[in-house]
Amino acid sequence: MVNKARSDYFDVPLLTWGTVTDETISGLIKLAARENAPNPRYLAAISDIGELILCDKDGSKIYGPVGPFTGHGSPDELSVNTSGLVLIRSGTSLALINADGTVRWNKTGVDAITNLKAAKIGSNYVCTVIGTGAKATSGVQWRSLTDGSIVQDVYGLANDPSTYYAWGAIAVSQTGDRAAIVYNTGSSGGYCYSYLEHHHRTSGRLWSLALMTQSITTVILSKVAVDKDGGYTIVASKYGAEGTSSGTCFCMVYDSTGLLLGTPWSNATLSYFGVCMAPDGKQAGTYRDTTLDRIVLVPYSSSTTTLAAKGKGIDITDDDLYYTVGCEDGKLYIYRVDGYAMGNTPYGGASTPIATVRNYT
Amino acid sequence: MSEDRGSDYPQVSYIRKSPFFRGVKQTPNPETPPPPTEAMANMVVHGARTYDPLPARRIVTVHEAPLTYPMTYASRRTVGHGARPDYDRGSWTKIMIIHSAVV
Repeated sequence: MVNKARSDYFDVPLLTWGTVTDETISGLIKLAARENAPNPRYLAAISDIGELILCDKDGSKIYGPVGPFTGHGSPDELSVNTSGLVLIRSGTSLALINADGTVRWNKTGVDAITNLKAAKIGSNYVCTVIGTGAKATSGVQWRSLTDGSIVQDVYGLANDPSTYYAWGAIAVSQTGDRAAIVYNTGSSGGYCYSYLEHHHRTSGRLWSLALMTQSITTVILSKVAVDKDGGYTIVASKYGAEGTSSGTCFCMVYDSTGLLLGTPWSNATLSYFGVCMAPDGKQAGTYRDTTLDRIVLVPYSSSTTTLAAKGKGIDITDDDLYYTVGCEDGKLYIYRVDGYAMGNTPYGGASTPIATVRNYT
Repeated sequence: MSEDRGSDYPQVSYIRKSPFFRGVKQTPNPETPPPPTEAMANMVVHGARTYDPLPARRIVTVHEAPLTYPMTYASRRTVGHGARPDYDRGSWTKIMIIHSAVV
């Protein structure tokens, strides 16, 4: 049995599948990413031991596998921007990888970023989330692509974030000027709160809202995705680590002002979940254990289509037909905008994260 | 307006639909230029009741418009494939997925 990082294509007119790149890697793909921009180009994937591969939108390999980079043997977050720069976060270590696979900068060891909780890259900035436990010194910190130095320090959060409960997540706009973050407060009387906030590089904290009160005594796992403007936001959260079954969970969709558009699911018992957003913000998707949901956001609505395939990986293409790609254990599925199942193919292996783009020829 | 007054000579709509101009069939191929026309000064429709020379001349210049219409990207694909443009747009497309496999 050999682990592969694979780029597969689905030919829309012919309804056929094929493989372009099939690279043997160490470890299983743990994270996959595309840039949050119109007509995205880059597909990045990193294995659970830190080997990175970058593919173009025609599936061809740009570089890889490279790594693991120092301090990134167990990556936690992966993102790529419109220039093909890849950002890897592993705990408090943060590395920016050039478009040729070389390291531009790597803050690890003694240079690791204190209290770093989450990080994503935009075309102009790296957005990091700093959580000190005090609201005044926590929030989004914008950093330079050139050397990782701080361009704009935190504006502060609306509430004291927990230093114990797992930090949620960050999703950033195309440029990296605007970010959506999820964090949890400390326990108060057996309850803690999850908050969703939007922060802007020059405007500061735009808004903050309480997502849910949870009677939680362990980690809260959150995931968030935004459109290219950092506006439309889909957020999901659950009690317990990835793979741990829990009945305390929710998934909600907001517009750029924090208006709740809909709740695709909540309080189901599940172990795995994920969210994605089309760059134009008109459609979003989620998976949870055995279900793929496609959510129509625009205009100001949220209608959910439950698709047949199982979860553990989802993405939506950036075009009028919003092809939704999902996977179950061992099969990839493609759905058209109307929910029609275009086809599926076995890929071998268990659940996998995926990232999807369209290649116009 | 002034075009309506000269109703006894061909209207713009008629001219644009005809493949012929003065007995010469215009080529539908935009790559091949249409045959040369006469000098602008001579381009007056004979017998037309023109109260004002300017509108008449303007109508004549319609002849110089290409008889094939520029096709949009979508319509060109529709012709080639007989499919709806939006679905046809997809037909030139591959969806690319990066993922893990164990083989």
